[in-house]
Amino acid sequence: MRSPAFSTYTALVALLIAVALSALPGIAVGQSCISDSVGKKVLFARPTITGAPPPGDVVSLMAEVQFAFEIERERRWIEQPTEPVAFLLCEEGGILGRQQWLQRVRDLYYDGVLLEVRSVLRFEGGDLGTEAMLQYALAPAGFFYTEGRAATDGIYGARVPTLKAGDYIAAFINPLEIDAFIALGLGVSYLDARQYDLAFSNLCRAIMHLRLLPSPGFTALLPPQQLALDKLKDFVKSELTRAIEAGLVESDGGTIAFLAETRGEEFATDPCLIEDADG
Amino acid sequence: MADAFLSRVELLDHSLRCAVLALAFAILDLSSARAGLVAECDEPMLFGGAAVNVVILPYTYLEARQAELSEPAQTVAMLLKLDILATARFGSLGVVRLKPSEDPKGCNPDLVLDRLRSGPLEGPFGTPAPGSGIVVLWGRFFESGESLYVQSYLSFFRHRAEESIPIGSDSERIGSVEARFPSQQFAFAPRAISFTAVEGLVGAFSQVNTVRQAPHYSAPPVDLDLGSGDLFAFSVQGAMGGWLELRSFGPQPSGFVRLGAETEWLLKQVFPELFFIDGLIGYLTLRARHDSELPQFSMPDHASTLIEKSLASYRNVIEPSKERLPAGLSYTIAAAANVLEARYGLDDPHEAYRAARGKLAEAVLLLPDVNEVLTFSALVDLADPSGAYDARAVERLLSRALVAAPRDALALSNLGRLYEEQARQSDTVLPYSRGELTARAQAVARLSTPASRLYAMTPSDIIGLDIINERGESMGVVDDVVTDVQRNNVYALVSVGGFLGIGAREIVLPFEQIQVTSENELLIAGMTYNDLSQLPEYEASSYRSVDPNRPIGRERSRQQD
Repeated sequence: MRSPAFSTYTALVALLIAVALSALPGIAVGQSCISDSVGKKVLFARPTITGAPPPGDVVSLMAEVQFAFEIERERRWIEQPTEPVAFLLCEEGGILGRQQWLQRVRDLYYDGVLLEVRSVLRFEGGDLGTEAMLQYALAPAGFFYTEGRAATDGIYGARVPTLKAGDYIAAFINPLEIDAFIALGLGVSYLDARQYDLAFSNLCRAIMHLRLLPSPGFTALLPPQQLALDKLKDFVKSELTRAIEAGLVESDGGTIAFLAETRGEEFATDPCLIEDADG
Repeated sequence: MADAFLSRVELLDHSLRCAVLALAFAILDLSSARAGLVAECDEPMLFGGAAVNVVILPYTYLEARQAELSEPAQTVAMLLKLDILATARFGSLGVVRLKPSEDPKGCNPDLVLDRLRSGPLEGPFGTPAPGSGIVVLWGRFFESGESLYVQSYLSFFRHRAEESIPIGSDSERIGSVEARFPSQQFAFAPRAISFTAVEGLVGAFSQVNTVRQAPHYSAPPVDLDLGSGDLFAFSVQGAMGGWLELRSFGPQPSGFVRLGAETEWLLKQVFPELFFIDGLIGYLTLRARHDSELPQFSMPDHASTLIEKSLASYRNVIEPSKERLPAGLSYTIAAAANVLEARYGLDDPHEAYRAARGKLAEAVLLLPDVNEVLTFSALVDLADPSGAYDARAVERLLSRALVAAPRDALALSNLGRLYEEQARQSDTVLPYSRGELTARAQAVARLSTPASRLYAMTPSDIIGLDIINERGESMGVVDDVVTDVQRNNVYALVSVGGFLGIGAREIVLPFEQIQVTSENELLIAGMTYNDLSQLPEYEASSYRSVDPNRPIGRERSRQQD
């Protein structure tokens, strides 16, 4: 159970990632963590604390969130993506907070980075606050690279109320956000590699999960977050269309062509065959 | 005291120690018994006569500074072991608690799993029978504030046997086909335990750490010091009124330990995984009873009902939407038990398949993007002896399985089989003519050809072949075919770079990325040399070699050999 001292303080999370990033301490430049690992990977860092945290609780709070992240890193036990994805604790940071983000995104993309996860905890001491929230932001590297859009377009934030002990830890357990964004990153990566059936499969999985966001336990999305999510959905749909078109043209007799032929009109309107997926 | 026994045992060399313990267990017939043991991670021993062995690794702290096991950590491991033994309902169960040896890394789960999967597993208690079940449980702790968090991991497989679920038979509508579980290794969600609950566990532990000559508190207690991790072997003679009767093999006293209903309730609220494990043990025991080389042993009638009851209890405690994989898996395990009971003639096939279909429908809701679940559900629909299946729905499920796993040979062959079967029937329920069905079956066959050809090849066929890009340039050479010890995925071990064999790196290339050309060349499309060299480097501890003469496709569903 959470220490009673905690209840006298309130932790609020920055609602906009821009606000959060402005409060981030200087991030060391370097790729040691990233380049030390080969293959597809997800970057995450210890949560950033802003505001005036209660001294006695900071260590405990960070440790708890860190535990949650560690659990995420162990998702190799939970999820079964089409290839292994490593979770890396990288203090030097990846995309978020970068000035030269486009070049950085490109470098990370070539390094196999699918997305970056960061959390920001903002404390407001005193008796004014009544809740604490954790923001869980994901930045799909492939999205930036492919679209060349502004960084904020690819950032999704989710808020977790932490009125009760362990609420935010519970929210890290098997969130659909991770499933969705790993599938998205893999889909984009396979599309680049012209492996259209694997791109198709992963983008379909991303669409399926994105439909269900935010995960159970997260609070409803604020308008900027909903806008970001909508943009991501549009992006995934356009990537899926690209994968299907290319798959039909370039891979004679492949899975995409087979499904297009056998599912006919249904495939044209719902290529992922998910419209009644939940019953 | 266990210390005394341990000191004597440790004075013996390994072979002599094995002989002593073998003698002790010679009188133990595990065909209908339960037994416990503490062994070292470096040399895991199992009960050869048991239908199922549950192996519990030390629960450790997440942070390195807490590498030493604390009292709660030891308490939990011991209680889990005794609870599994006490509540076992399916007979023929061995539970082994592993303790660290001199090498602190010896209890690394990956290493232990590798030993259990590939090692000879010869020990004083015999060698597990092929087809017998092995369940491995481990976990970690994290303390924060006034809470203790616990996360458990589980892996299960059958000793030297494939864990595929046979459905139907050659004489039935769909012939003999097989399904697979969506996963056989996964993490449960972390559980938070208040210190009050921990105190309750410690109190429970103090009870099970004491053996009495009679099953009541007035009997004189003798401290067993079970938490020390000493080598201690015993059989469970029975459970009565919350008391567990242990029969010791060694100088420790035999007698009764208290594991009352209140302790069991507390444990299962904190560790609903125990419900899951109980159901899983039931499934593996059912399987071992009919598909192993073990002598016949008795099992409760309608085991599938007991299995489902345990798994449903697990789901009732957790939030299935937050633990989709284990929750979905629990449905598939229960459905597999139904299907097996029908196959073994233990239940009315109509009833069994109806029950299985209901459970798999729930599994599909939880895991709508998992090929194995979609395929399992479709196959059980097809094999239902009532014949009351919706062919369109089955076709759609199999098509969705293809979306989830477009290169999966099993999904392809199942879809092709459906079209072939429908084309043979005079009154097809699919909205296609016989010609259209035949055309579809042929399209599936064409679709599956490249993958089928690749997966039909053996490692011996492809070792030494060049991996080429689309321009026909050599990118590397296949040195070996391996599977990863965690998931059994198949990889080509490819040597890249270097000159005349000097300075080359060995990377692991997922088989899904390889295509076989009409000239039987191995092509990786859309990958540059840089992409290839960025793939994970081979680490011997993470992979194992496969049978060089066995078709690679067979490795994909094989969990151990």
